[in-house]
Amino acid sequence: MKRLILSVTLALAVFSGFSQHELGLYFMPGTIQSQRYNPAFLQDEKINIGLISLGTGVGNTGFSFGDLILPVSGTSQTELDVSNAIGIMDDMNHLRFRTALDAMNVSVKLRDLQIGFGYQAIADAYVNYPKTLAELAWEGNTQFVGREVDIAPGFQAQAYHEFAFSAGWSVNSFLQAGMRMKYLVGLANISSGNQSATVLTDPSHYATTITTDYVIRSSMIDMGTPDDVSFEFEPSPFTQNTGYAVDAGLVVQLTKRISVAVSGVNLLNSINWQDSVTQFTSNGSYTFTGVDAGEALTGGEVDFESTLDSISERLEFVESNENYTSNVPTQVYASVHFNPINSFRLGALFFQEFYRGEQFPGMMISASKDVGKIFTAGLTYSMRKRSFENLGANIMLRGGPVVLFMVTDNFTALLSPRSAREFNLRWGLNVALK
Amino acid sequence: MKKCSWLLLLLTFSIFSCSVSEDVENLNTPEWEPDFSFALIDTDVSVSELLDEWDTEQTIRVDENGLLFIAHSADIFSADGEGIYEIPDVSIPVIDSQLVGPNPFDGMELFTLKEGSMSYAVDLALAGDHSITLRIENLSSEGEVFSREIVGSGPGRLEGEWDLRGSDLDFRDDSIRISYTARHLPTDQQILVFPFLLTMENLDFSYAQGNFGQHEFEVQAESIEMDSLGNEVEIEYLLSQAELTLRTNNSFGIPVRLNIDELSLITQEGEEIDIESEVISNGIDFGFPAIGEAGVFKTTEVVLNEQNSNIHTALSLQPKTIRYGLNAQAHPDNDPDEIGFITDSSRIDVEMDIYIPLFGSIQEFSRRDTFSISLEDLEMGRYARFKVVGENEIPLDIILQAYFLDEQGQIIDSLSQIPFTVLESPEVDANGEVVGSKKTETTIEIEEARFSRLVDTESIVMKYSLATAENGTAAAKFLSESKLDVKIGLQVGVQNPD
Repeated sequence: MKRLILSVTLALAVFSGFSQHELGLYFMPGTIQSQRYNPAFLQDEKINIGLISLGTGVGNTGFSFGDLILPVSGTSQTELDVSNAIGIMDDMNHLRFRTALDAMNVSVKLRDLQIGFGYQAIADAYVNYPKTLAELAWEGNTQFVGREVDIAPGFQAQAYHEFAFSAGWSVNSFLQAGMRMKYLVGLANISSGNQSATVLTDPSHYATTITTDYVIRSSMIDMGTPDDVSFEFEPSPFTQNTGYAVDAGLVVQLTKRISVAVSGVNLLNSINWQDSVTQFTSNGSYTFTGVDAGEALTGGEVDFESTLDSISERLEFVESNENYTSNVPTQVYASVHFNPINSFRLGALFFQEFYRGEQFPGMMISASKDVGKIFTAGLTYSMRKRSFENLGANIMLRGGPVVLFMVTDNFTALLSPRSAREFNLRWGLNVALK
Repeated sequence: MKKCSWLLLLLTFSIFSCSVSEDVENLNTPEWEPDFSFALIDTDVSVSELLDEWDTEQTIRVDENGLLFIAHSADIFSADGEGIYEIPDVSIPVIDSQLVGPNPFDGMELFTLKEGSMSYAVDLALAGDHSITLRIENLSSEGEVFSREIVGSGPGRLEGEWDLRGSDLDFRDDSIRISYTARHLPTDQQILVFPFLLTMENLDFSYAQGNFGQHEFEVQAESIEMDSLGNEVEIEYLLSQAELTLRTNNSFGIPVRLNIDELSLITQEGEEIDIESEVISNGIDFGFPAIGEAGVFKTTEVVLNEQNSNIHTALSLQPKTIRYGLNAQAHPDNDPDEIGFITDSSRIDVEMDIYIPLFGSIQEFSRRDTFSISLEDLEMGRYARFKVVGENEIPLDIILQAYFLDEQGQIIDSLSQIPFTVLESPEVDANGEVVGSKKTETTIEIEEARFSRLVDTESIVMKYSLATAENGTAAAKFLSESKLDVKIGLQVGVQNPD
């Protein structure tokens, strides 16, 4: 048990120090990929081709590596301090992983209209885990006597294709509007549906009540049976798991040098999972009040086995094959852009992400400078949920029509990985034709 | 895409790994010291359920009010009809063709025969065939008067026999009436035959009615040991409701009297106390079924109690043995006019019950059990805190102590410094009735310093004591449906369990 807890904790700690999607790209107007944040961001070039772009990010809001492994003062030794990591956790903590490959993004400008097509392959994983789960596992349940605690983690891991068709319109010199329609094809999903599992230890004599309303569902992943769980990915490039998503945005040019933008990504979205679907549902409540020793006192035998059986029966997962839907994260962005001079840009961004009933706010300020015609560099500072020390950087190289860029929101994670809770990195290769 | 993605991840992880790998290499893993709380026991048991297991001899029973009582029961006398009356063999010389004579079974009126026969012997003086028709008015079978024809040739003796099983003999008019008609067939003349002898022999009855005369039943003096829970638990009984009951079940249709020659209780020290009561000094006359009630048992109970005997005084000495000597007599008044009946299944059973209600006080009843157990696994523990929550309807304080013994039988430690009350008796009113229930909550803690010593435990001695309320001075009634509800929870600190 101890090994299991330590293994899980270390695994979480290894991921901590990284983050998910790259906000710095928002302030890189020279890249076609910035349109993903706002379809009203129109390119200066007539034809833009995003040949390839790959981004990966991981984040853990709960704790960092340095919160878990502490130096022992005066020695070269370190100490695993799970209690410290737990103490730093929020009531609900999140672990995110996302990798997205853009390929063949194309936009063409026709007078005031820009139309585009793009493809992304996205793998996204999300786990939320209550602090009480970690406390229960590491410190036991005595601290929770008389208090009902939630121990259910929520999770969703999914991979899908995204085919996007976009249109941006320069309405006049003050206003740009854009919209992107996305057709989604789900490759695989495993996620929790209802995610409630509580433990209540009664203060009288510590009778324990476990109540569950928990659903695990999967598509294109064979989970075996409730009695013999296994996970086996059943890869298929195309499936009947289809969905949609809609992006929309506006850019208002307030003055020659100041503009504001608002956008929503995946404002409406859904993927309907219907291929190789399995759902395991546990919905019940069981209170273990102790073994009935009266049987022993009156000549019978104490039947531990039947006690365990009845717990198992009450909380048993039941298998079904009903279709279900999942969502992709919805993001809302609002930004201000100020160009004091033509080659220098300042920006401030407020954003909010909505995913699985939770909100993840953040903000970023950015400064970028063109150095000649071939090089652009920028610095960002961002704050996210429980992560306030994120210095990012981005660079862009132009060689004729070829554009190479790289962006990260948290290069300090590379310098100080122990204290970082998130990291992301994206690079890409584009072609821009005037 | 996957390859690129993994390469990117690999890159970031590599940077990360270089930085932290040293930390991980020099990592000290911490002590895992969780504290768990869980329920161990949840038991709800009534006294009657406990007695079903413990009192296999069923010496403790429940009266109609649900009150428990200790019952000593014994069958002290049983008798059937054997020896009370046997039908004698009788020979009847038929000296005339119309014979009316006295009842050959003096005092008896009716028999239903299940065994026996009647034989005849008649001498014929004339030569040639004869026919003799015999009729006995007192003898019948299935309502038909006995009538038989005897055929034979003379001169000479004719002999024969009839089976009388299932026949009835009726002498209620106190006489026997026999007639016959004899004819000499060659001359067709009616004649008298002489001698003509009828003999009834080997008769046995399934029903007999009459006056059977005085009969003494043979009974020997015997004694009964009063082994019971009552002797294990030293209860200061309130014996005002104690009773000794002599109960007879009688299906003899005749008066029978039980004379008690001796009835005494003997204490453990050998002291003998005679039970004295006017109720038994003149004998006990059993009730008996009336004529026409064959097969019916009549029950007679004689109860000796505080009002009519010294039974409570004798029982207060906690006797070990009951000694008794009895005799029983049928038709004790020898009244010749008393008519009764006996069947072949008639019997008398006399039982003696001593009823001692569990109504009293228990100063202290202690018991100790030893069982082997290895507590090596306690190495994983840091401390234990037992929480005992009890709700008690039984008028007893239950006090517990446990001792942990090592291989040499030496006491390592005890569960608590002094024995502790696990369950407290509910209140008892002046009539000994339990008022409601009593809730008790007790916490027993084995601290970290003591916990480590217990790993050497090889056996545990559990000692528990029972006492009624107010330190065993309050007398209380023990009811069968009183319940005991015990819940035990455990808080335990563990360390580094794998």
